[in-house]
Amino acid sequence: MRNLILLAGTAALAIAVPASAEKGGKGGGHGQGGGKPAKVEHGGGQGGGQQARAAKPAKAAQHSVRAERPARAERSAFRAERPARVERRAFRAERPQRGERRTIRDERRHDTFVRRSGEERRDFRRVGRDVRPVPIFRPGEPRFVGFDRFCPPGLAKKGNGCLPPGQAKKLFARGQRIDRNWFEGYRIPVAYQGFYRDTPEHYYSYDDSGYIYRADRGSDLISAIIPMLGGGFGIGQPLPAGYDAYNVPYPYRDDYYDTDESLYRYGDNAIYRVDNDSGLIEGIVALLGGGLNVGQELPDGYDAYNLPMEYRDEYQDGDDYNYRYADGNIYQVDAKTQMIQAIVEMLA
Amino acid sequence: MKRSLFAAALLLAACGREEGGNVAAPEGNGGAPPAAAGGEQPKTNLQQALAGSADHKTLANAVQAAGLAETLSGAQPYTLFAPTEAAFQKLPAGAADGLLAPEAKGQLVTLLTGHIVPGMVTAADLGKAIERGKGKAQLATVGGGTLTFGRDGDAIVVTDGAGGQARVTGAERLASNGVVHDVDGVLQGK
Repeated sequence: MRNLILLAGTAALAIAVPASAEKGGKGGGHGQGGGKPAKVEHGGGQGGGQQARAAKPAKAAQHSVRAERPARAERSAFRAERPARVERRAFRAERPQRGERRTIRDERRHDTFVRRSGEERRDFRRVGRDVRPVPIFRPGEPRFVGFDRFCPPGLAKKGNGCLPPGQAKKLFARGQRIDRNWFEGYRIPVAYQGFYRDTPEHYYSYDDSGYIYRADRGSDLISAIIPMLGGGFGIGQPLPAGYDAYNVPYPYRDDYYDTDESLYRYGDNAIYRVDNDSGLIEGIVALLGGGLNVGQELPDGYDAYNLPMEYRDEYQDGDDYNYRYADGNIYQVDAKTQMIQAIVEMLA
Repeated sequence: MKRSLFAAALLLAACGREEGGNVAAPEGNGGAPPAAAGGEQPKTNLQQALAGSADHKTLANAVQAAGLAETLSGAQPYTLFAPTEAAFQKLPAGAADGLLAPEAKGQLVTLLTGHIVPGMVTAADLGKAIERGKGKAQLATVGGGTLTFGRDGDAIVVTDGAGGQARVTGAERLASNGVVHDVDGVLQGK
């Protein structure tokens, strides 16, 4: 089956090159896979990509196209058809986004620039020689590359974040078109809803695979894959792309700040300690429940008074107010309406 | 003042032990323990409390394997519902060992975080919440699930998201950054 998929990917590649050259431009490639079901596209794209990297047909073809210097539109069409792209997008380190309003077209231009850089070509050759790549980071370079580049032996290498093979087939890749039907009936767990709210530009989906997907509302293309705790991540594995910036919630910053040896990153309701050299997760230093915000009703699960001992003499439940601890904060809750009114303490 | 508060908490724990481990809700609001003299703030954190307990060796190993040791030894407070050795032995043969395998790390983290609740919920707080909730109290875990607590006679029974049940046994153990309650079953993560 895998061979068939690889064969199909290679065949599609072979067809795409002359087709784009003959048509002289428009090519159907911009459709990001057109109307094909997302899951089918996922497998074919990745399989083709791996084949291309091993035998280098894609690179050779690319060179031949460049040598003929076709029009810009032709090159664009060729890139869109090339199956290797999906996988490259998946494991490439994601640069911090400058703004939520960035369009897919902008991102595509950015990706093209990165792919043409010397850095990327060097990585490509290294893979072609079948030499295991070593994570070497330059100053200012994103460290958290994730998505299968350094998967431990035995885990999937399909651009899905080092998941065991059994789970790998459920996942979508970044840049892929999301299949909304796939997520019907699922809801993002309550604990995560406060952090991943839909915006005019994006919406979030979840399917029990251990990942939350952020998709562009207009194009349905997946722009981020956010792992949840237990979703295949653990000690010794790299954080996924998108964790370049220090992002620890404010109440925890006095305890967990970046040093020369360790970085701290918040994600999927946990704060991770990450080795500064290797980019690998070394430990989970704090777990956050999430879900409490001033102005909202106290959610289920906070029935019991839970303040640390040293704050109990100051904040006791009464007829007017209750107090609850969550995520480094002590919240004041209206006893009658159960509305969260204020953060009265930040525990540092 | 702080010392006296912790002394009161320890006193409560001692009372609970005499009553079979389930402490009745104290008088007054919010579960704030009454002032009492003597006693000191616990010097051990949650991780040290687990490591020093003969009845939690499997759990301590699991916490280590999942990379949560730093969490339980950090400054943030947590309430840990700790399955005992007997609880792990109730699992199907080989299940506990399977959870400790490297490839099951994700599942292990999910399982363990289903036993951890943010903040410090003492047995007294739990008892009061059950009372106030007319026999039921819910606590959200840091793993994203919910544990439901109720009473069965004098004992406190916890029900996980999958419907599995366990009893809170023994006395609570206060740590510098939280509290440990023993449970006689392994709870499901969600």
